[in-house]
Amino acid sequence: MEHDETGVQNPDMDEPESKRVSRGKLLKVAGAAGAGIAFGGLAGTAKAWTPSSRNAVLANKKLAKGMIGGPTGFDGAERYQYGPNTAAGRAILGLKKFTNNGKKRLDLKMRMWNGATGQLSVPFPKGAPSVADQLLKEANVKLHLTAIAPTDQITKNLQTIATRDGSNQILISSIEDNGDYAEAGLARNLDAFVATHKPDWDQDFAGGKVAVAMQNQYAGSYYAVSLDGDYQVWVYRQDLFDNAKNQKDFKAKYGYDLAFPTTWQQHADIATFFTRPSEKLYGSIDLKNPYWGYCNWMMRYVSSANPNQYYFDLNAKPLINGPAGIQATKEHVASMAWTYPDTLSKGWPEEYAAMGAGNAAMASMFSNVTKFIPGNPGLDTANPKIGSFLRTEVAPGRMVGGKLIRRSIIYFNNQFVVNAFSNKALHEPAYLVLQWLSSKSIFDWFTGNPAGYMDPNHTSALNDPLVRSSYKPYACDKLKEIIPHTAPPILAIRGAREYTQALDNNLQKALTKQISPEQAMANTAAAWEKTTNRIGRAKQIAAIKANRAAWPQITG
Amino acid sequence: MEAPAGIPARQAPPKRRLPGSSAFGGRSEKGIAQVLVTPGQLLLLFLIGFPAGVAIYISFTNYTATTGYPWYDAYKGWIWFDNYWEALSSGGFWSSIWRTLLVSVLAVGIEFALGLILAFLFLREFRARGILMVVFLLPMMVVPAVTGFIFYMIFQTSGPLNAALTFIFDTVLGITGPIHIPWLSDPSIAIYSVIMADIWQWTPLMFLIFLSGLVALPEDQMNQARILGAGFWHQLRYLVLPMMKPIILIALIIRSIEVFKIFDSDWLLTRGGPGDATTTISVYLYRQINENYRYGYASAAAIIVLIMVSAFAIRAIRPIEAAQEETFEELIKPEDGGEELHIEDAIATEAQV
Amino acid sequence: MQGRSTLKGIGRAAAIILLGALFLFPLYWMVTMSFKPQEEWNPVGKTIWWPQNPTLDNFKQVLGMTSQNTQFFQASNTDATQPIIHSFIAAGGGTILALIAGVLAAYGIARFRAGGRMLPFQILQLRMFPPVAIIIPLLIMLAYIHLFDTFWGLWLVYAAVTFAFVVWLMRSFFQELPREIGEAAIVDGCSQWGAFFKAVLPNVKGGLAATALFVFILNWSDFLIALVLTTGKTMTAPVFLNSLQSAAAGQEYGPQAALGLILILPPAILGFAIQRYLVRGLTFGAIKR
Repeated sequence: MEHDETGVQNPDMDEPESKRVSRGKLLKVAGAAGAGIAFGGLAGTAKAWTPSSRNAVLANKKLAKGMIGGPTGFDGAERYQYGPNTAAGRAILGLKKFTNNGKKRLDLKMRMWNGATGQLSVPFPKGAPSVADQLLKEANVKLHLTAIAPTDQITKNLQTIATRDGSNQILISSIEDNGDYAEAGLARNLDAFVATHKPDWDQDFAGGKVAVAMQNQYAGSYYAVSLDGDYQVWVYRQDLFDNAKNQKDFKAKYGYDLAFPTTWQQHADIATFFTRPSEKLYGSIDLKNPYWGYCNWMMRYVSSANPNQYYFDLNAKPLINGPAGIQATKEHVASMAWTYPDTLSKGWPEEYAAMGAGNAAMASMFSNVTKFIPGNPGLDTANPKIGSFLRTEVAPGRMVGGKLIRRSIIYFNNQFVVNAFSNKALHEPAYLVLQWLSSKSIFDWFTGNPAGYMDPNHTSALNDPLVRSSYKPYACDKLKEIIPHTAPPILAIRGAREYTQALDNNLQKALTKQISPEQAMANTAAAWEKTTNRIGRAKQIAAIKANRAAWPQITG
Repeated sequence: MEAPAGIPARQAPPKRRLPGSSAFGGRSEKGIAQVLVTPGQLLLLFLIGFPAGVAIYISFTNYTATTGYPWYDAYKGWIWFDNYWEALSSGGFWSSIWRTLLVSVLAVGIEFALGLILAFLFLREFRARGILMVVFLLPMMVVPAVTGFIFYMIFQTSGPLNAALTFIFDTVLGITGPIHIPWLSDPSIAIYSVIMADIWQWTPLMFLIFLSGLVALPEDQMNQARILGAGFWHQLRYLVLPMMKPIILIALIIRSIEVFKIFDSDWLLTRGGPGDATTTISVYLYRQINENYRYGYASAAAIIVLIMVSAFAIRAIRPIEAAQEETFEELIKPEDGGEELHIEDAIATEAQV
Repeated sequence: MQGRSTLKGIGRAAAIILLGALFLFPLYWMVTMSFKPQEEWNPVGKTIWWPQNPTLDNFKQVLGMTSQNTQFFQASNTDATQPIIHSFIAAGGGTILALIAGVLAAYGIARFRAGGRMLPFQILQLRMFPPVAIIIPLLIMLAYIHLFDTFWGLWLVYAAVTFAFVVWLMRSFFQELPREIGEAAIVDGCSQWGAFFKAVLPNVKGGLAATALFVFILNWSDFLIALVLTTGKTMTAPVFLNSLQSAAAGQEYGPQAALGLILILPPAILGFAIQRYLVRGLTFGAIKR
């Protein structure tokens, strides 16, 4: 895995490249000019925007007819402008009530992952203001971003719960944590606000009401606002698959044509075929490390039944210690043979770097892989470059009773909750900011911004020109296929983290051959039963029943 | 104030405040003593005593981070000893205890041996001794968290340790192929990597202690033994070690106490992984809190650990106490300019031999 | 005889050099890493023993002195100046508090046998507790009195944790002082407090300084307590180093090494200043050189 310096190239801007940006920073850094806004008080010095020049530019541009808000100043800006009868419009009008129609400034603090703040703080595209500046201009609401590392999110939220700290009005969560945070009293119930201000989630979320339920709800109520789409997409090297010699050799060895696998058995064949350590090529480098790698086990597991192999049955009894779980674990363990050494201590930055360096044939990654790797001097480092050959596909699956069941997984996901411990008067404005950010207009606008990794989850975003040029058209079209095939991890249930942790720990032990797959599944099931009994079986049964609505039904 | 001349003797003992009387007017010596320790006691009471009490309280409940009510309402989830039974019957808990014991015994044992060897090597003067001592003292000064990070880099499968081993065993000696030992990702090896990091960091302490002990050994007895033909090992076994026994004991006990709590370097090295392979008791408790949010259970497990450690501590205090008594006795002796042997002096003495 | 001792001399030299190299290597690696540019951190298939293109960039990143071309390093990302300052403040304040409480208590124990015979050992027993055991109640308690993520909170906890060291160390220094010094002052008309401040303390200046520096080193090196009890406003440097390593940020060896090097400078310098007292400190005063 080569390390290279130089910065991110933003396809829409021809600003000078930053030098010496480390790999880790690439995924958090924008190539655009102009600086971010204040982080908790630090004065941001705008490189290209002095206050006067900014106001002049913004003042010069006019909104399209009938629109009351939205960015201006660049081609196609009208796409992101909105009228009063839209989710964004209602949000702004609502916010204006709290700022005396823009006369009094309102400060809100938002805690988010450090790799995503750029999408709100860095202007995009050229000529546009930043999202945060736009909010300030329209409603006089100043958004202060507190950046934290994703793996610190749980610790920080736990600290917030233990200390009842209300200093951040908006907090970052994950879809797996929504249930626990709601129960802990950290996440404010948003039903009343949703009913009053009517967001557009049901109309625009890719995956419809099912996706909204999965990402924004717990036990039938709204607790979070999703600004991300962490569907795992399978990425593969079209050049390797199209290579004539590879095709010939593969057909000779395995008897069928080389193409991206539709079943896990094919996946094993192809991964084996492409694992050539002497050439520094690995067949399938999907993550296995703690805290991140369990989603790959889940993909193998949930595709084992039609329509889904669930984690619990409707009596909250674990199903994972059956043949499906054991088989999935065996495959998960076997897949260690197709990835690089020390994979258990490596995460997705190393995975992206390896893919970009040409060291892998297949991998499962976040959808931003096509946004970050192709053409990026820091990541697209193979010689010759392979970034343009990356293609995405639905995860492999299994034939169940004659039908092909393919399932991908969504996990983590930048979700935002309103901090119940913060000043009550600020709950509604905090929610309105989230409604505004998650509305079709604004969400589509900032998703295309390469300065962060909040990925599209709106259908409109997948059709938006800026988003398509960022994420690549073929990937956006493929996402329309992937999203309906996406199953949830363990979520919307009390103790979701505990269940997931038990699974993750036992998978780690199985991966390091400390215990057998059977033992791993048995241990996990036993741990799950303990947790369920402790939390209360009735409660869990209710949650599981409600959660069934969030599962895909599609075959093929 | 001196007794004015002429006043009968019985009236004129040197003006001396009554024992224990003070500016605070007549408080007894005991009172002063109490005042002196009060700030410390308050500090300990609030910062250690009270939290320990809270820990005991919630250990009897099913209180978790996400329970939803504040800690003082934890009684709402009162479960008596359930947490304790669970910990005592938990494989994870006991394996972390065994693991911690393994780490403690191996780390302290090897530090002992290495420290002793180093002390012997440095006993006599030689060129560059001063500078070389600096080299061996440095690891002790490193922040433990940084130690974890340094060894994280070194133990990478593609890192310098394997590269050096490959150079020695493959390139130079040619007996093996390239070496790619997975120091951190193989569960049976990772724990030894943690131990190695601890050995690197704390051998200097043992080295210093033993050096000061060796240097203080009575020169004449050692010479006599040598003249009488006693070999090195004989001297070691029957003279050196017995005479250094109190120092050795203290060193071992203090090191054991500290290594039992090992967290910083372990966490930065492996975060307790792979799986559970390097989860010592502190890491176990921390993961229960941070990953499973189970404050009640973690408190119960912690209290079990505290009880076990206290049982050990009571036995262990004796030698330290004895050493203290010894020192106190020395002080009571009439002053004869009790010398503190500095190494420099010892070296000078040595050099003359 | 001559040959034997030369052989022994060579053998000893070889052993010392070998062990010395082993002990020096980790530090060598960190120091050289801190000067390596990104492509030399962990290149595929080779190990770079000496930086080929040494650079100061890692230090610049870590100290917030980013050059013109390296923008957008968000303040909470690699700029460690604030955490380093916080470390100084936290360690310093904790040391002062520990000294105040500890010196008084040590004097009480040494001079007046305060608390009875067992008090020192009870204090020592407290050192045996894994801090993890009480860290959550501590967090909750501090939050309750609004001391979470404040320096006062850290100072109090650090003082409580290092109290045992101060007591045992200062006790050993006080014990070396003849009782007569304090008594003479009282004879001269001082109160007990006056005797303490004017006669006793000045005579343990060296020990006091050594204790202070020793405790400072301990506080500076703390990781777990700061990890749990601080977040944005008072995050200390070791916790910051940990956040540079999280799975999502990638392994940024260079800045981490630079920060690590900066982090170990104060304890290294102070440690050498109090070299004489190190053994005494680390063995709770039981072993005096």
